[in-house]
Amino acid sequence: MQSSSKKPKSDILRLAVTLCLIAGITAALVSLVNAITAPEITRRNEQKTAESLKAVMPLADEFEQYEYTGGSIISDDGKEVAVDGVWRAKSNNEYIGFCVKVSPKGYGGEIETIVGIDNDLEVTDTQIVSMSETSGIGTKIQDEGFLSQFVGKSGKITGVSSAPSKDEIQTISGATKSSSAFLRGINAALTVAAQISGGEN
Amino acid sequence: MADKIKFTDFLKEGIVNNNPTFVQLLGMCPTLATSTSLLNALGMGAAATFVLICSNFVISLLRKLIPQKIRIAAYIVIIAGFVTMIDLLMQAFVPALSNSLGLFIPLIVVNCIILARAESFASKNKPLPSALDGLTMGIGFTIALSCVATVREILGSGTLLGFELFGGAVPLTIFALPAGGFLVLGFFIALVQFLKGRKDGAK
Repeated sequence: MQSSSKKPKSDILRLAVTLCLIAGITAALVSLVNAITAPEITRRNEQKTAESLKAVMPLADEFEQYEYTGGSIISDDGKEVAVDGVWRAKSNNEYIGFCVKVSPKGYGGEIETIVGIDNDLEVTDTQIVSMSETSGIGTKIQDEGFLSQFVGKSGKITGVSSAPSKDEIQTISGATKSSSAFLRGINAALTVAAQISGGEN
Repeated sequence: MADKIKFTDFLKEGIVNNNPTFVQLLGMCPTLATSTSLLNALGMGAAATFVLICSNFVISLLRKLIPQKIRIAAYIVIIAGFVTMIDLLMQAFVPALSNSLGLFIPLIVVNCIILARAESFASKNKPLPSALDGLTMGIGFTIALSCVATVREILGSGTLLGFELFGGAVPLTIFALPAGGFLVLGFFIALVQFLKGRKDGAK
């Protein structure tokens, strides 16, 4: 290096300044890209949430954000399920149910799920917003055969490995962890909906 | 004309002789993690190629300005900058792909292929050849990923590019798992070594 003959002090300064310059320019460029993409990312996320709300509660024509203050729900087996948001579904200006967004912890991370629950506290439909379960195994919780089991269920749903009866659903063999986590999420959402409607009566 | 010959040389180097995945055995982690489906593999390959080209080009431009002592730190900052940009762009414009690749996009920062090319090629060569090296190495990485992913997706999920091949039946789930990934990767490496060995023997 041509600088090796210089005094060490100026050498250190030169290193620091060079690195600072590189970091500064990089940061400037990244923030430029961020400025361009941030509105688009926010818009996509909002649109995605809106679509999921509509999907789990097709009868509703309006969704109203509800201030839920209960925090996360602790399930029967002691696991924590985060409640990310609650909406009240409206149709012709009447409340027809709730949409609860929960994110139970699955095998590979949080399974963000939106659950539609009607005024009778029955599940209308469910939608997985995002998850990072094992591809081909845990991702089976997205299958219609599994998800459709939840429709119309209420109260406390239990998961069984054989043929399910009332208030039971069949977990996916080989993906027990993922399907149980999803079930925890649904139960937490039902609890939240029961709390809210119980608080009003 | 001279450039054209050089390009094919680069291409041969990146895809066959010095394939980053099958010959240099670099970037094993993203290879195993994102090769569960062909679409993921192509997305990962494209993102890594973009970062490779950009970082090789910029590092080569700055190769005389970056002091030897802090070169690794400088490389990482430049690479991380490009990775963050592609991550944001993917989130904004191809959210589906960004969702399925998840954490592995930010992890391109520590993909050894990129740092290895910066250190062994871009820091010693002119910007254009370096960008070309990034492109061909990226293509080599993408092809390798796609080969592994094709086998794993067909055997592990019974689909190809998301289309069901066997009427929804899943043949061998193990191939969708890391263990299957290692198996397929091992066979491909063996195959490439076998072909290379035969070619060298014939000479």
